[in-house]
Amino acid sequence: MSTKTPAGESAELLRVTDLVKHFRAPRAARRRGQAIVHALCSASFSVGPAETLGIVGESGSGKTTLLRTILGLQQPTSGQVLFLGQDVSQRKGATARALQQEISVVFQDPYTSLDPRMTVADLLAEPMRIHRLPVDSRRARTLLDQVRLPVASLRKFPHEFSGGQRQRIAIARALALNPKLIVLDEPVSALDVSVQAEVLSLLKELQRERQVSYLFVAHDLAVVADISHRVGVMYGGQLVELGPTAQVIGEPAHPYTRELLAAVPVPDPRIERAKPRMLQRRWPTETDGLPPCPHGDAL
Amino acid sequence: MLRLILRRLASAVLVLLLASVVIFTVISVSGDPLAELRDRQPPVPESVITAEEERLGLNDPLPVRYLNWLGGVVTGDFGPSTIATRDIGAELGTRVGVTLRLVVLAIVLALVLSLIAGTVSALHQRRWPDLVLTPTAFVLLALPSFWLAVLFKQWAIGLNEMTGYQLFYTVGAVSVPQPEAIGARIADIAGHLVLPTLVLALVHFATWSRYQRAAVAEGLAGDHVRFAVLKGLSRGRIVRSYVVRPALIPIVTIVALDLPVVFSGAVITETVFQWRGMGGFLLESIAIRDTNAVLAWLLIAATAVVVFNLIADILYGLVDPRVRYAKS
Amino acid sequence: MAVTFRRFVRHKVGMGALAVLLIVILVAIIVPPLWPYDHTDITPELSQSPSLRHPMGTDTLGRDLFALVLRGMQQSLLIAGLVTIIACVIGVVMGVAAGYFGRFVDAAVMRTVDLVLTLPTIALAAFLGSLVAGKGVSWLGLAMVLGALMWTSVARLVRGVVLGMRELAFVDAARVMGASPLRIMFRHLVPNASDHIVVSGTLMFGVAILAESSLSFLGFGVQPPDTSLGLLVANAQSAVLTRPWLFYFPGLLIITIVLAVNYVGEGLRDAFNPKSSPTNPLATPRRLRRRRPQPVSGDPDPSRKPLLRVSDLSVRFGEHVAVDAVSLEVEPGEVVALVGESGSGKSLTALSLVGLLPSNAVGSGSINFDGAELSGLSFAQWREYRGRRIAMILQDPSTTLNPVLTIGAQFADSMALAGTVNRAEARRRAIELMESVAIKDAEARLDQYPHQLSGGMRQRIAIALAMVHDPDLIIADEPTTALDVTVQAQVMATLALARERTGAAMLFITHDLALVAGIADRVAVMYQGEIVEQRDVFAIFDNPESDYTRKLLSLAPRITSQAVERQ
Repeated sequence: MSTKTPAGESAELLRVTDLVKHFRAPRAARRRGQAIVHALCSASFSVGPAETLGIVGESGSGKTTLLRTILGLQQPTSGQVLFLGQDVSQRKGATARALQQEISVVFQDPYTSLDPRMTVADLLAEPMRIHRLPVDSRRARTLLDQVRLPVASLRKFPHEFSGGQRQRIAIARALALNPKLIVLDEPVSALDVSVQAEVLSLLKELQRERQVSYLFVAHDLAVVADISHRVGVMYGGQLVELGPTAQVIGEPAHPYTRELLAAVPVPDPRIERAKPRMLQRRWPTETDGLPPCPHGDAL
Repeated sequence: MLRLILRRLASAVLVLLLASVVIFTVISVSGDPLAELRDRQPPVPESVITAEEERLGLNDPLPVRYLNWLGGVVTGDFGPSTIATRDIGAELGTRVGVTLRLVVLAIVLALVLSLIAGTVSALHQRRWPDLVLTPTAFVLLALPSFWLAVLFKQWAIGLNEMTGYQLFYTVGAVSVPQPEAIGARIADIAGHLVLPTLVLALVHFATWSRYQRAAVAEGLAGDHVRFAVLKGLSRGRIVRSYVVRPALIPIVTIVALDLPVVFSGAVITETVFQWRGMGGFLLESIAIRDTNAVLAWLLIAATAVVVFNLIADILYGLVDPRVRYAKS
Repeated sequence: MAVTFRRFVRHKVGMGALAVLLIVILVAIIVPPLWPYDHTDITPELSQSPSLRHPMGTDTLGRDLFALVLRGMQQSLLIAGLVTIIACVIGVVMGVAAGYFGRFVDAAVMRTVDLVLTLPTIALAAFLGSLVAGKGVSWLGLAMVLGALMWTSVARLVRGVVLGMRELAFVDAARVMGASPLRIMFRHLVPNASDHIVVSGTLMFGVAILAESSLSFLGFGVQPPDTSLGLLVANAQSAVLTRPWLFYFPGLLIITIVLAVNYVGEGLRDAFNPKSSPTNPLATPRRLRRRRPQPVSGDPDPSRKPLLRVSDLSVRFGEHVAVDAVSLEVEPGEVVALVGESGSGKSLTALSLVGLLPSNAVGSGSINFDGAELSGLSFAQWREYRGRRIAMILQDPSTTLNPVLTIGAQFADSMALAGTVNRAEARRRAIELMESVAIKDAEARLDQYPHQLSGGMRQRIAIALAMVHDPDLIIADEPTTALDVTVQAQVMATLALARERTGAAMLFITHDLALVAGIADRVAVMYQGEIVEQRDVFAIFDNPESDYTRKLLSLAPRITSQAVERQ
């Protein structure tokens, strides 16, 4: 499944090409003759400026591996991640430094993504300190203002905030170096519904103001559809479907996408009661597996 | 399961081999077995020292000495002693049994006691059995084992004198001479074991019962216990299968890890009660700078630790299906 | 940090122990120069029992025991302090490196730890101690030997803590920002492990005192004419009955110091990591306090007999009211959903219904089940209800099943409640139950352990276990929150099927309003401890009355309904 944007077009921010990640199979599987596990099996897509690409997938779908590889936390087995034409797999040198300032991240759990021993001021200054940039206290205030937190928060520690507020601090930190791309790893799944909505609308607003791109990875199709311009669906290490949100939701092409859509509960008793009961996973069955991985042995 | 045992066995042998290298290097580099000879006044003739060096094989380079030593150890020869007449292997052989008797018995006693006390304590947190057991464990934890041993020994002597009967044996692992009859002989050994075992067991009981209490308390807070309660199971059944059994895994680990400490404790206990066990052997050997004897002692202790760890690993597999299946 | 400090100050035992320790240290520093006797002074007063002149008596050579003990304390504290510092520095560096870098570094460090742990410390220390002794620097050499042998426990601990933290997002966040390994290790990991390091360092101080005195006792530690507490005990071995002061004073001092150190450690541990009051679901539940009988409100038909009637249920933690006067009824066979966000009190409500409130919570109100009052039942009386008439399914299927029992054994446990069942019969019924919740290969599953099954499978097994005695009421507390959405759909279908088959009533607790649209007959919405709305399922979705319900419904991101209908 390839994207519609042709490769090499200047409008492209992030380009992921044939990304593959193997892990050594667990001992039991190796004994059966399977040497590797495909956590990720040939994913290709791109993210444009001021665009949100949503990736939805359940546990074990490979979305975490995809994300960690893009962030440079893991080396891909093969394939490439280019950011503005630069390979992100390099971890050292000036290019890497520059890339680290252009891509930032917000993680799932607001209770663990902020160092509990640092004040908000320290947390917001850390990106600058790491990159040996001047630390400016006005900058921290502006950042807090942008995520709608009071300036008085600067001297507090993360544990003094609610989950939603912490996630705002994490977003502020991600904005600190004016990145072009923010990778969001399940940013709202640990939050209550009402707080979810606030964080999502904050993200949309920030995108309008600052023209930042998002790579938004989550397990919740409704959340992903809410914020994304385009949606990719991952299953079994593969990107089984990728397209504009309306198309993926409205005319899902892949049977897994259809199953996922059907599984999302709808807040309407009439629709829910009319749904057939899914006692077993309908897809994939033994006969209707995934297309084989282009590299190495099958999943 | 068999595969698991074999793998653990292989890694145990490896650890032991590595341990032997480390022990040998540390002891050979740091200790000069002839220091005492060299310092003697009036000076010993140079030829005597050269001859001793030759006899103890001190002139070879270290790796060669190690290989020679290891080759000997494998065939049961622990190398020459600084005292020409001393046969390290034979002497250790008679002493290992004495010490193992004490160590094994103390471990079993301490383990049983701490399983019971730790579990009871955790089941009644901050209520009466716990309010007695926890401070007791704290005090025992702070007791130096040598002090406790001396105290027990002297009190027992006092008691013996007061009553005029030999209520407790306070010296040695057996009476000299040993009784003839088998029954009397066993009773004699058991009698001599009472005090040292008690000292060694009490000291470790303190540590282990704290761990057991923590493990059971953590288990009690677990979802699977709550679920078992909600299933309507009886208290006894829940405590046995849902609380204590999963908590056996941490305690088994702790006991295995603590074995060298038990051996250290045994050295002290044996010294106080004047046993002719491994403890005495070690202290005598250190005093006369008999490096090969110290080496042999350390190697045997390390072997015992590795073997006990192997047993713990296997027990582990028996207790915890996750280990059994993940590793086989 | 300030909070921790305040918590420690309030810890009576810890503060008391700290005071004792400080006094001991101060005495060891201040008193010796002021004391008329030096530890080497020999007086003509041999073997005197304690007196005003010699508060601890004198030894066989006529030395003042108090002076000796002071010197011994100095030696012990100095050596133990040094050992602690050496061991902690080595241990922290090794532990952090092993935990952070993993792989080869970890393997190398851990094998080294294994090796050191294979050797009885005291034997090696005795040997090395015998070498450094008499070279004039005995206390320094001794401290280095002990420190080099005792760092392993700190290293293991720090490695474990770091391994746990490495999974936490703030470490990944720092890496993504480009932080160097050194910065991550010493700016993020070590500060966050500091509480563990401080506690284990404190406890190590006590262990070091014991180790030093043991060595000195054996004659391989501090050497005469200098002295240490261990050496004093060694010299007094045969004097326990004749000159007891020589034996008891130094011994009791060691015990006092180590006991104080351990209690300070315990106090620090509690201060860093305040223990919630102990959880013990095996204890007899606290009785709910009865309020004055409320005027009967809104129940005009006394002939109606609900299966469950909760009236005026409140749960308090001290001043905080977590559940506030909740009243709820469940008719036989009815499915009632209790919906609320975190902190709404929905789970506490569920726990009160089965008598499992946390021990620091105070409940009040009444819970009437099928005409009987449940509040105040003993553990044994509860067993008449739990599992047989009221079954509960919990949130996280990865922790609810017993990890060390096979699935079959866990079914057998439940079945044994109704009298002994033979093995074959138990297996047959378990298979039947598992097949009724759409588990394939039920027979093979019986001999498996929970960790061999997927999350969805475990939750189905939990459902099947709940159905063993055909309960009248099933309480499901967020049964699908830990699961993927497709698995959630399967578990919901399974739950509906199981409920319909037995005709049981169900109280379904969740944070997700949409989830209950398909299963509930009636929905109660909770907010900040109160039920804000309780109505028929169609009414609540079509025409929500409370602002909060409206907010929940409008805010939840949803997939447009036509998109779903189209497929």
